[in-house]
Amino acid sequence: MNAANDAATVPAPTDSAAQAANRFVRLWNVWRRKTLTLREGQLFLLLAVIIGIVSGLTVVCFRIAIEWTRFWLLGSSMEPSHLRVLLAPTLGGLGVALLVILVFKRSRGSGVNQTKAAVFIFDGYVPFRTVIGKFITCALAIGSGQSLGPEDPSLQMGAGIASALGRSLKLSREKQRLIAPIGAAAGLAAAFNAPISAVIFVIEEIIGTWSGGVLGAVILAAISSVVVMRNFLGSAPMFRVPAMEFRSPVELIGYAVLGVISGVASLSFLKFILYFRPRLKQLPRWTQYIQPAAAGMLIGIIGIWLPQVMGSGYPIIDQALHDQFLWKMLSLLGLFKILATGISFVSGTPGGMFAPTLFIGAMLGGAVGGVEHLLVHRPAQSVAAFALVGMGTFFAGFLRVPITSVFMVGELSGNYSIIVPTIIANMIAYFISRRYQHVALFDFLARQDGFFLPSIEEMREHTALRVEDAMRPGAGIVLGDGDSAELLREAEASKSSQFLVWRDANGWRAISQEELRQQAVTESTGESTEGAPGRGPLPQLYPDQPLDEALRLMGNWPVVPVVNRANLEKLEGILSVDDILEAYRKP
Amino acid sequence: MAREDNPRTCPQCGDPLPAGATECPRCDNGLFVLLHSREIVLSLTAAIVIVLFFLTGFITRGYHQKLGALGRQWFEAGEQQLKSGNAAEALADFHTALVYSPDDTQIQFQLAQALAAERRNSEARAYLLELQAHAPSDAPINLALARISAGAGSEADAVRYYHGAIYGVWPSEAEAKRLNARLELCRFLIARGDTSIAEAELIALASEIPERNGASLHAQAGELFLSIGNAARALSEFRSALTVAHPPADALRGAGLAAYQIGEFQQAERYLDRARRLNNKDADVSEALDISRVVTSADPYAPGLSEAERRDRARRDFEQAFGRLQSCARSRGIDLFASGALQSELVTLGTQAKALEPQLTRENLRRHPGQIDVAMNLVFVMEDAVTKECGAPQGMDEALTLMGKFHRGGER
Repeated sequence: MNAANDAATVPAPTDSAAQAANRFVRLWNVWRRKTLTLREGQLFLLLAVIIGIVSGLTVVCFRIAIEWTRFWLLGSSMEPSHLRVLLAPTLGGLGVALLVILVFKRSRGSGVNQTKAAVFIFDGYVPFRTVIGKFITCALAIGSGQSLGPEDPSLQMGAGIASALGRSLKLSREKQRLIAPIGAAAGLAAAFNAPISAVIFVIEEIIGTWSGGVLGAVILAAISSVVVMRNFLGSAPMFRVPAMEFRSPVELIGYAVLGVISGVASLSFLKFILYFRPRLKQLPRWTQYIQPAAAGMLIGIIGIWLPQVMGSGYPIIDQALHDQFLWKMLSLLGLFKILATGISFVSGTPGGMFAPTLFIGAMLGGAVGGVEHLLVHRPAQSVAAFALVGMGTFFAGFLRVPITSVFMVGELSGNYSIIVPTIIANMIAYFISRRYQHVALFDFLARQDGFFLPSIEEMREHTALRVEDAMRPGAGIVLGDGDSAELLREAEASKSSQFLVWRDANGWRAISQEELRQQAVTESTGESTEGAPGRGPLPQLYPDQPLDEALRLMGNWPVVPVVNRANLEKLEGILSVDDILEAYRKP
Repeated sequence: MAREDNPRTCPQCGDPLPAGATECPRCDNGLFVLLHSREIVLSLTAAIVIVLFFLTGFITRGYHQKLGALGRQWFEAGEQQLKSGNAAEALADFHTALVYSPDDTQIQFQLAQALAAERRNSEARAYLLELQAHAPSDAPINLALARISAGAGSEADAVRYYHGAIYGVWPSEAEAKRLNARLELCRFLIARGDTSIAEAELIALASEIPERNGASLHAQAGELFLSIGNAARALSEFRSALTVAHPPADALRGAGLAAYQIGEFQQAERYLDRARRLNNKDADVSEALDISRVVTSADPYAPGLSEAERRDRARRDFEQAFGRLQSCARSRGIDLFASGALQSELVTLGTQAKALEPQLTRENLRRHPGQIDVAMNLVFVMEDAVTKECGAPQGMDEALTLMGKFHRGGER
């Protein structure tokens, strides 16, 4: 059919050469469509791998770009000169502001809420310009010492790459919407060197549902990107974690305390950002040019005393995990990192929140571990264990992704020995944060930007109604075996006007009293009736089916049987459209 | 959705259709369709990916080279600082080096050493434990951990790590380093007062010391044996140390003192005499030598003596001890020979000595050589009793006391 259309639509050539070329092209198109064309599902999986590879390559270059920028602006020392510490983030902030305002307008912010907005509002559309903008501005911002991380921008860059590829391949709108999260998972996985956590984060925060249609592609993309990243940057975990173990349930008391402290700290950090961000955005437009520079200067001032708070801070987390700081220093670093990151973020400097969140968590965790070590003289490794758990705990409280936070601790460190304390501390922090800040960070940021995105947190906790929640008993509606006269007598004894009958060969069928009466009259006159009585077969529902699915299956039938999955003849109940509406109306 | 409903746009590409046209000029163009086909786009993407792969590889290679160079640069700076005694600066440099070469175990080890030098033991321990987790049989790591555990007073851990160092893998000079590690373990155990385990380790050490170039280790082992009171093994080690052409200076001293402690006074005199010639300011050597000389000059049991000399020595020793007994009794106001004197040990011994004294003539001793043992036994008992009553002996009396310790009852 397509071949015929092609043949018909190609315009007639004016000369023989053009005619031959056009003929060749036409034949190629015909052959291509017949033999090469991939089905959309296959294409989607292939595309996931390609997205993973390209995202992995991009993230590798991005991380190198950040490091090169840091070498140029701050030097290779971990304690740069005061002049550099002061000037680099200030001038870097100025450059970033100019780029964001004049060239890459969509590069502001972390990138997570922008990706989520792209999925839910813009059919998965992320401009490729944003990818370039994120790459340049974030490399400059993080490399110059702004207290931000590379993970969220990597997530958005991955989404942007996926979106661009999807557009160039003219994917359907549905697939186009799904492809951005695939790229997001690939970008995040490569940035974190943690494919499982990246997949769970994207499911938990961006997509919101464990859709089988997209899960395979998300996993493929995440793994591809991590393989590529490890090929270039090595396969070592992000942190070298010393040997540690969970020895006694009594230790959980300390971890519970850590959960409470992290919960309160993450809540304070959330409130700080949510309070100051809109207020700084409301300032006159010209101030937007100097806000990142002013933030950079403040960070530089902090950096003169505490250079550890500058940049993403991964080497410092590594040192904290190796017991390199006393608890007082750890507390100080945690508090000043909250301040520095808050300042950087609310100033509109592009960059991520993941790395600072891990930094703050590690410092607070280490501080709690240090105090515990002093009080109960536990082994020195306990400080590292607390720092590790603290990362996940603050992550859970601040970003409100409890499942991701648990997996992330294990995956980033390659150590699963302290999973129980991690779960307990994370849950405590999460509940404290959730109790006093109802809307999660990225949802709130999106609302501040004018996008009312669905709350994944609420979606996650929303209980889907099922058929069993709406069905009612079928007593008095089911008629037994017998001829039409017997069935009519049975029906007349009932108050209902619609009835169900089971016929082995035809399944469940619907019949009204009027139809039974007519059939009885027909039979009494000696005329033969063909087939089973009533209309049908009726669609069968099962008690565990979601109610929205049941609604689609019901069609125009006034009442539908709900049957047992092991015995189709056994009626569990009946369901009508009114029953479904009634169930939805219930508070 | 709005695009698809608009009759003036192409349903395939979404571009606006020219006025009056019913079909899209782009989508109806075969070449355009070919270039925008999924296969071509995928092929082009694959080509771009390959190019990007090589480009990223090129960039990454330069990046790794830079990181490697920075790691080495900061590591060397740290080592310089450590050699100059600036451990704090060295620490900062090693930390920076580790940022650029996080998997470099040499940097981690040096960092741990610098931390330990700064007495930041728990931090050093954290790095060392991680290193040990990856290389449990690495002897230098175990030794560093042992030293930290020893410093923290954790004996069980220290012994475990010292054994890890002794039986672990050394990158070079394994034999010597193992022996030194065991020697260090022995010193630690002796300092902790755990002499029984220390003695076992010392015996193991002594058995492992090589014949060649082992003099210094023998001497050190001898010192340690001496410090835990095993003078016999100490003497054996010192003798081994003295077999070489140029024995360690301390070996003579140690051998002399060890021989002195086990009552080998003639050997002690010989060694100590040589030791004092090398260092005449050593008070212990001088004292032990003086006493040894007195003992060897007063000992009636010394080998090679004539019978007459043996008798004379016994008589002199008896007179010395009896004199000391009388002197002590006088100082305490006790009349040893008064009738009705209070019965005390001194009085009893005085009575016994008084009774024995006439029998100790040369002639009588010649005829009854067994009397020498009787006399010497009484000498040793008298010296002990007087020491208890009137304090530590001096000079000849000290020599007799020592003699008594080793020859009690004439047993040799």
